[in-house]
Amino acid sequence: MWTLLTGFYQYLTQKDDYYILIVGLDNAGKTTYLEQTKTKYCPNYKMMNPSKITTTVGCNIGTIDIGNIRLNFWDLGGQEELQSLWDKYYADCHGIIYIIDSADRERLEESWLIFDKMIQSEQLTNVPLLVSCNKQDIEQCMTVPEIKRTFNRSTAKIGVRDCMVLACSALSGDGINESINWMKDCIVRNSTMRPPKRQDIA
Amino acid sequence: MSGFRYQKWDPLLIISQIISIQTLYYLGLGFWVLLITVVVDRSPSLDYMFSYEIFKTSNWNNRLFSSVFFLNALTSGLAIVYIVGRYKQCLDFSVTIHVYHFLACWVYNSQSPHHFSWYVTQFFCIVIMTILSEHLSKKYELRNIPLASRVDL
Repeated sequence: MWTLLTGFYQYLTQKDDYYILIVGLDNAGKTTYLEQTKTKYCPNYKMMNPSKITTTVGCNIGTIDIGNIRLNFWDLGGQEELQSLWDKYYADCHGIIYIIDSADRERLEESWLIFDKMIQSEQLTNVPLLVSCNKQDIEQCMTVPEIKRTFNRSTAKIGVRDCMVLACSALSGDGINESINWMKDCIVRNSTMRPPKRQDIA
Repeated sequence: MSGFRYQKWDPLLIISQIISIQTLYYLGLGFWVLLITVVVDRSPSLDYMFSYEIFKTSNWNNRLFSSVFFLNALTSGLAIVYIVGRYKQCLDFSVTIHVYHFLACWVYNSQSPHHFSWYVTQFFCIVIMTILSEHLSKKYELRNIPLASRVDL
């Protein structure tokens, strides 16, 4: 009877699992973004010292609970050699956050090329997309309209999915709350097309 | 929704296992009571299973009848192995059986058991049942899995 009751309790308290992919060029600020998100949404989480955050080789994983759903983040390394790993995650993710370094003017074109290539993937049809212009705390950074001018060439490929461009600063934490809340609403709205991962206890 | 343990928690299976094991428990108890009453030439009655009178343990007849529970613990242990067969759940099912037996005795006698020896008997029954079923389930679960070897040595 103990297994009956504990199983019943877990059945009542289980949450839907959704997976979000954080991608972008190397040095865009993805890992800092993830750390900042975890700090904001997990009560007792102590953020890692930002100066100690180094290049990600592989993947960083974070989990936050919002309301009655659980969001899992996959922060993938952005270096050129690691970009071939991105498409392995496309089929299982429910949302994409694309991080752009707003202070890096020389690499904006490179960032757009990667973005364009990612958007064309068939496994990402109808998946909500959030483009996050990071590092807005730096003085000489590009504004969101400037970045949009470069990225607007992909509008046709973005198609009918939910898409938003937001400014944020991962170091100071501005703009992250709005981003995550928007992403959560879109994922829940999209859950008929991409349902959450199947639970162990049905 | 098919396949081995497609879900981790299956309420229908657990409930049906509890019902069947409880039935087998009382079946076994009735069988042993019948056997013993035939041997000592008394008439069998439900009192031997549920009533608290036989737990006075003042005379040997009463002790004989209360030993029925220990015999039944052995057969019920086998029932648990046969119906459940999982090491992790043996203790769970043993305790469940005795919880329901406690409730049944309460209903039958309209009072909770007041003899200390009732509790002692039930405790040792749980111990015997759990150890027996865990031992046999462990042997069953850890047996060698025969693989069809395609290599001709």
